[in-house]
Amino acid sequence: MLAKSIRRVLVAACIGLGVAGTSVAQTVVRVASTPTGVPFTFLDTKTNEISGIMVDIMKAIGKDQGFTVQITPMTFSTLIAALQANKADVIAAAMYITPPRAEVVDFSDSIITYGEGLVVSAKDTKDYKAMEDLKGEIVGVQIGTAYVKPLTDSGLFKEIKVYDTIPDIIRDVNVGRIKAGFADFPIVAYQLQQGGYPESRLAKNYKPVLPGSVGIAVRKGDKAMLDKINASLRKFKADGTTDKILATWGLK
Amino acid sequence: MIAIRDVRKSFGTNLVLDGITLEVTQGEVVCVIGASGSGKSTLLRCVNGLESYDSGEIVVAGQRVDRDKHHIVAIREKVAMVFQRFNLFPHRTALENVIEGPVYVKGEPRAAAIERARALLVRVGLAGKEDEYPHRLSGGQQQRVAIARALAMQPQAILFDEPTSALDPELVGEVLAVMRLLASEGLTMIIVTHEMGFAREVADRAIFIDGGKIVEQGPARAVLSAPQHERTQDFLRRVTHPF
Amino acid sequence: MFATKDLAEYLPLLARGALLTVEVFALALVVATLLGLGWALMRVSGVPFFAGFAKALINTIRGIPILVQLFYIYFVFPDIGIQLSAFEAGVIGLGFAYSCYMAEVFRSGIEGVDPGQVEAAQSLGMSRVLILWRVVLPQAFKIALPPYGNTCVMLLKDTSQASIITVAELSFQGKLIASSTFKNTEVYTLVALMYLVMCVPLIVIVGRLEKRFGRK
Repeated sequence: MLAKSIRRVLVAACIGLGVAGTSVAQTVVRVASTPTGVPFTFLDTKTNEISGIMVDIMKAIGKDQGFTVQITPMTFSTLIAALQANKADVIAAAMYITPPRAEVVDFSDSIITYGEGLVVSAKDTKDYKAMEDLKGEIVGVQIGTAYVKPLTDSGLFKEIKVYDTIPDIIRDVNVGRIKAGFADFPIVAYQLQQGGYPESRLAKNYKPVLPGSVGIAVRKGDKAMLDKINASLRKFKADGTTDKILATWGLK
Repeated sequence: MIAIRDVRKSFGTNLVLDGITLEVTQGEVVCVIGASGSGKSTLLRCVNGLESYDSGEIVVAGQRVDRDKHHIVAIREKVAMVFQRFNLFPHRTALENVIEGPVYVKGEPRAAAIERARALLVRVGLAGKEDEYPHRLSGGQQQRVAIARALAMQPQAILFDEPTSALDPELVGEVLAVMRLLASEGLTMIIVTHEMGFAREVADRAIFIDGGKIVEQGPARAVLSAPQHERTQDFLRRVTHPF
Repeated sequence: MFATKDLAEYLPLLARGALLTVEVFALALVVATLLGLGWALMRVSGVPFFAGFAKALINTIRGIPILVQLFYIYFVFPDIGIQLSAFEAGVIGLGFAYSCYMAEVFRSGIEGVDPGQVEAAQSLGMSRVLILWRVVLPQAFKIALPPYGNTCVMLLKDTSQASIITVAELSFQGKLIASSTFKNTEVYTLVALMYLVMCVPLIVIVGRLEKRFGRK
């Protein structure tokens, strides 16, 4: 009698552990992000983790869909290569959905739309409104972004210096090596607001002409992952989760 | 012309020269013999300033030898040295080795130096070898070039530091022959050597050094054939009859 | 995989990068060799102040990655008022860093010369400078030639580090093209081949020099 009860308890315990086991062994989705794209993706030195809008959204999707995320930082220009080489499953960064990129990766729905921002020296009092105002100057842009080609094609500038990260661009504007830098408006706005570059300012009246929408990227043909992401994104759009996350970072 | 007065030298705690006093007059050929580590090479190297000494005095042609003073260069021009391992400049031909000192140290015009060098090479028996590089010469030939190089400086004395110790036995003779010739011409020579036969025949005086001190000295023939001191006898017996 | 159309499109841009690679390399090599000789002579000078300074400098610079040094010179120096262009920073950074490696190469050459040579030269009455110039350096040159050549090849490849400070040399151009076309395989294979094309002649030249001037 006792033996039978003990056996039942043991079996129940095993089943319980088994269930718990499978729920602990969730899929881990490898996410590629950058460490310097604040507020979208950046290294929070207080927690030593990659944080930001895109990270929060990705983690929310993970919770919604039942997977954990593992975030790896790398330079912006290597994100797509990492995805293609199967070093990551998803790109969550301030990356525009563009036709050239869409040829090699698949994008989710758009999350936020914005244009480029112009950062110039604080001593430079000229009121920049358009790219033409910088004709013949040396400007900076981040490697691999959707801004490189249009700027190069415009033929307006004396030299276009290409940098690995946006902080590098602002730093060179700060010391006067380049006249101006083009980068994602929210990112430069946030960086300048933090106060680390007292010699630089945002050109407030500059009208962006290179707008784009940010989306999450997956490997081409990875329909399963794409569907999961889009399903969650649509849900978040409806119930305001996305807006809440954006507002937390001051973008709404 | 070379006066060594109560010279002492230590390498760290090792006392290598323990009060050496020696006078070498012009034209004299002095042989220094002794066991290895007895200090004989060190003594020679103190004379031309390759080693410093701790106390005492060495005077060469009226000038005090002090390796830290600039006039050591002047002393080295007067007293040349021939080394056990020849130390010829490998990137220069025999002729170039010989003219190096006269041209670059003494400022002699190159053409004149070359002429003298040629004659010197003939004198040491190396006519026709002037354009050879040292690595193509035998040990004996290299040492003879080294002697010519020393002679080219027109020194008042030449110091020989075991000149034949690194040579194959059959090559020793040709070098000793040159040295004998120089001795007969009246060159002042101090020779550290193990060649007792040569020393007996060619040297005027022999000095036996043991434990940093001069144990016995006198006419070469006398010291080397009939040594007075027991330690000298011991040493010579060991050298001439190793078994 | 490899379309000749790709080649035609990328080659001119990469070639421009390669030209800059060679320019940076050549200038940095001159800086590194001259400075390196200076440090080496200071180290063997026997003057405690010079020797100590050179030793400390060499060991410090050898202990910091070149990438970090370049970053410092380009991005941090402006804070203390030294503003250099990317090219200048690249040449000076690489030249200075490599001067410390060269210094060790030269020093091993100088110290590798048989001390008997120096004694023979001293016995002839040669001054320190004369001994260095006529006896030690010519022989040190032969001893140092193989490691010198090796270090040259390393310098050529290390010019790629300058891409981090926006010098538009070969790797940088490769990165630029790859990040906008996503054709990593094609582009980086081309870049690797172009580096080979530049390095192999250098290796051959050094080999010839070794044969001509090297130790027997």
